[in-house]
Amino acid sequence: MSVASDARPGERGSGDGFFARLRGDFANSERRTGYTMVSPSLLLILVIGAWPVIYAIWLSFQRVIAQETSFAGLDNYATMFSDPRFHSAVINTSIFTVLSVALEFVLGVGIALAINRGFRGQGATRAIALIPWAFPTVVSAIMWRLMYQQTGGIMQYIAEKIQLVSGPILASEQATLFAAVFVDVWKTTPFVALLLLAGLQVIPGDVYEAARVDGANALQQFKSVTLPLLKPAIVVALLFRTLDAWRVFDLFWAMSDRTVESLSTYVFKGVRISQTEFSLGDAAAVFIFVTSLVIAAFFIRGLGSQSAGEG
Amino acid sequence: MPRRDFLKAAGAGVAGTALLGSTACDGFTPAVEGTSNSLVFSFGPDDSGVVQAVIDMFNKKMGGKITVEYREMPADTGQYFDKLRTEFQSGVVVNDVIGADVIWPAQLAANGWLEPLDELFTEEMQSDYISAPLDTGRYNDKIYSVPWYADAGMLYYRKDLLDKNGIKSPPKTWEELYDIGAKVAGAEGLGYGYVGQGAEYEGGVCNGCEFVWNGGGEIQDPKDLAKIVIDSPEAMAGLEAGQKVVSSGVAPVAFATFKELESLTVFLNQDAVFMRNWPFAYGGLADPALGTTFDPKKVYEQVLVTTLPVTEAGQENFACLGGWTFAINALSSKKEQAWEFIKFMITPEIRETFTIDRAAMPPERSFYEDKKLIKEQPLLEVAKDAIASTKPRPIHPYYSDMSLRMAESFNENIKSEISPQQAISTLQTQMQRIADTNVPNPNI
Amino acid sequence: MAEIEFEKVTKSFGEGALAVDQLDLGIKDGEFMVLVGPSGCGKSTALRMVAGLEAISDGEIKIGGRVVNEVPPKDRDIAMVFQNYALYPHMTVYDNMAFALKLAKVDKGEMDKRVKEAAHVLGLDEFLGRKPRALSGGQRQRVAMGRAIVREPQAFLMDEPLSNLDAKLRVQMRSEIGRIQDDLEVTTIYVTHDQVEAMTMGDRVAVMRKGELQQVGTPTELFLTPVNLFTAGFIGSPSMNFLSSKLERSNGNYQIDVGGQKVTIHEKVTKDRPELEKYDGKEIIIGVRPQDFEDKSIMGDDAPEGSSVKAKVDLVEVLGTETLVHFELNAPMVMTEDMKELQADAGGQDPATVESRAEEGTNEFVAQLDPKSRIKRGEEVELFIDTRQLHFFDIDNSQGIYGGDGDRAAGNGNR
Repeated sequence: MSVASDARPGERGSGDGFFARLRGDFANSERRTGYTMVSPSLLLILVIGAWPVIYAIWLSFQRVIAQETSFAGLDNYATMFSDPRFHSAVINTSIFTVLSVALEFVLGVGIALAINRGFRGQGATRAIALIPWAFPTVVSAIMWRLMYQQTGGIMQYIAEKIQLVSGPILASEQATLFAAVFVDVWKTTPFVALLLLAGLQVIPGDVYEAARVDGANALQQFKSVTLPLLKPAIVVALLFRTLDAWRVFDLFWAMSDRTVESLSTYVFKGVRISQTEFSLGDAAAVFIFVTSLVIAAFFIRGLGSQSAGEG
Repeated sequence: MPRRDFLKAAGAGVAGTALLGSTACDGFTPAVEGTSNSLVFSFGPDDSGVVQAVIDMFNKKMGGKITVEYREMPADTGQYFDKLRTEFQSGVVVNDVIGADVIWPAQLAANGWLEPLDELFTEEMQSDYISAPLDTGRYNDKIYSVPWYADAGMLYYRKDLLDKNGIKSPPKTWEELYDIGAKVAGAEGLGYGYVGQGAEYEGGVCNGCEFVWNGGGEIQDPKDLAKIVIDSPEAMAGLEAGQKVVSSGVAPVAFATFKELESLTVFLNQDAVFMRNWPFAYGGLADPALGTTFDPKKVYEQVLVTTLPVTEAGQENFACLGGWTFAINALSSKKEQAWEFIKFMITPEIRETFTIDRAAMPPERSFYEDKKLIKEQPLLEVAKDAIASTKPRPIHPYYSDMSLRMAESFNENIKSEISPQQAISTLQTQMQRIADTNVPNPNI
Repeated sequence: MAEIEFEKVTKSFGEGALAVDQLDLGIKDGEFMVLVGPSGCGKSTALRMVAGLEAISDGEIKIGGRVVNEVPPKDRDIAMVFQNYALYPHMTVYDNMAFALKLAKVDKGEMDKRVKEAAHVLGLDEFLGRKPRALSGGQRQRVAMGRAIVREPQAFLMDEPLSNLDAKLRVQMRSEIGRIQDDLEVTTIYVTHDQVEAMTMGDRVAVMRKGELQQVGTPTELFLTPVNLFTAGFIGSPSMNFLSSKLERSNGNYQIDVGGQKVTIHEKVTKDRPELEKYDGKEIIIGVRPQDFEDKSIMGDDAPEGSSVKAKVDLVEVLGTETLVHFELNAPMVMTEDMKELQADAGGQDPATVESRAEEGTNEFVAQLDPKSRIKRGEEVELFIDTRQLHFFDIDNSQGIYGGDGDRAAGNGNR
């Protein structure tokens, strides 16, 4: 709830507009004090949050070479959108995001349901399940890279044995991309499961009992009770994971040893390694920022609106 | 010190440096700009301890007039360079002398961050140097760095197995290498004929450059460094040879993911006939810590080193130059003292110390003729031809960008994802565009 | 429509005490049976076993003659109303009520008709499109009822359905549920801890304690002839007063000592309870309902001699329809274990206070007097005791002392 919407109707300005409301708020001394008190934090948020974003957006319209900056209009974006490396970055990141989030969600739901049943050692299981998630991504990426290696890599061995691949995984960009999906699923499914578990645990048990008495079998209970009531948790989990996956960096960089491009590695190469493509990398960073906003809006509006009512 | 031990120390040291990635985040090291007579020397971690020992010798010799402090930088050269650039951009002087990779001087000098050394590092002093390490320090007709030690790509081969299969001499051309590799590997039950570095990283760039050069091609016009000339039949022939290494089955498909240690591991496992690697691998041949399966007493009769093959017999062969140089921070207020330190570091005594204790190959020719020194460090003789045939990677202020593109294209070429023709034409366009990007005014 | 039978039904949760111990209870077709008892008495567990939400450890439950021990809830043809309503938060009122019908694949038109009818009966017509969170507690309660009604089940099972409502709504819903059950004539088991609810709603009431059935009977039977100390104390409001005294014979009539004052017991009592003879000269527990006191000053002369006590009034609560008077007498209670637990379970007076009073030799009593009484706090008052209505309990086993015809309560549906 925003501060303003708590105002009693009589205290508001004549209109319903934001400024009218603000004016109304400022007419009230208690609220004025409130605004005064939060202003330092607001300022801080602006400085450390908003300013870098605005600066990055501004930079994306400049051409930056060494320390020289000149206005470039949309050139950086034009170059970026016609760059085949950017195309493969978008494609790879999209495939990675869709696959990893989908798998993590399905497995996460399954695990959450299993853990939610309650059994001896539930707490320990939960803690153990979180271990992969607690690893720094770079560490697990390198660890898995070793396991995917052609010489002595257990995953490579297994994949060959079950005829999933014919050549070395890491020598093929596609195979590496799927390998990265696998690692991400390994690493983040427990996190998704825990988020969903938290959601499951707030569903009152008697609703299930009501459904049982009403004649719902297990599947119908899941479809008609669990899923809809889990929706807020699902939205949060999907939103977190999708945004995380969309920004994937270290997993690609360290595990594929920079052969598979993601949006973030594209940014990194431009901004941190290249000396001539800073602006291009910056434009890509802005692209990630904007697309992330779109993704967030999609989840919050598209899926969130119906569930917002459930509170 | 017995030979095996120091070779081992050297091998482990360089191997440690070669391990990329994981040792990334070192905290910010505060500027060590203490008293007026103290100097800061930036360089990556040195597991052998020789660098610190030599610095201590210098400090003792100076008797407090100049004190050098060793500021340890990230082990990963990419991160080291990134950190260095960030520091220079911030304009704060945090070091006086920089231990710089051979690919950095032009990139740093173009921004005006390095002090020109022409007056100090005289032509006379330069006379004994091998040309490639010197060339890497030149930018816009000025010299910005003094070579410290050199690395070169070399071909390690299984002399014992070649003898056994009636092959008198190591291959001179890639075609010969494919034949011998396939034949010997087949006869001896080895996994592969050849291993090297094909991954998408700086080492892959070195391997790729060697393919181009040893096909008779050039990347940069030697007469006009601003001109990219990789789109040539010779360069294409070189990259064809590179692609064929994998497509012919002589090298594993995983060659495209191999770095120094991966290829060395295969070779130490006695699973390959030939290996392209740097001099450090020589010590590693007998190093149980690296997992060698060779008998340390016999390995140096079993494995010999020669120069890299070429595309057509009779062509001149080249090895990619690696190694490190000394440079002086243009913003340093103690340039004289800094030069004193560099001068000390390149005195023959210190060079010999590095050669013997750290297996670092000196950039001056005379050391390779020194019989006494060779006795103490046999690698000198082994690497001599390779070092003499070194050639620098493109020298350009935006080398990092060129390296990114080369790493991509060379790796894709190895994987046959693009044809050699596509590789050279893509690189021609991309690298020329980089070369044409206006260079900032060096007088900042 | 069906009768429901418990036959030696037992429920145990792992080790320890049984939640329900050998319960035998028959509920007739169309009957409104209330299970009442303090929390933990096993009443909810018994209900949930009928619903199929708890497994039956031992014994059998029959619904309409069919043993349902192994029948899943959805196939038992019962509807349940939960304490917290257990509405589906994401469904509208309409969908909440229609859910079971949808699952049962009831014809759309039929479903619509039934939901709308139920909504109409419950006054929910205008709320059909709303979600539960937009409803008041009472409305949610109705939806929960509606959800049960549309099913047209063999039985309603209600688990403290009114406990989350405020007092006024509770009274209102009480009668409403009663009315609906009357109209539909559906066998109903209603669980509550509130004896007022039990007494006002049930055709019959089953009193449970610690997993054991104490007594089954109509509200009147329970009130007038409680089989033991527990039922006596639990049923009735305010709770029955207890004291212990030696039973002595004087002039052919029994006398008891109430705080040093002799009270003569009406001979009808002696006749009705032949067993009392066995207790001649022995210590017994005597129960006096607050309703069986009266202010002697407003009674005129028709009050029999020797059946009144004098006391000093500690507290007067004027309720309009009646006046409650609290007073202390030196008529201590023998604090048997049953008595202590009863105090705790009945939730009347604080058990510790009662116990300490007992040690001091005093005891607090409550009398419910006619509002005409003008007794003030601190006054000395003479209170008439209707000795025909006294209750007697064995001090050792807490059982009511009846014998002969008076014993009928114990035989009613029990064991």
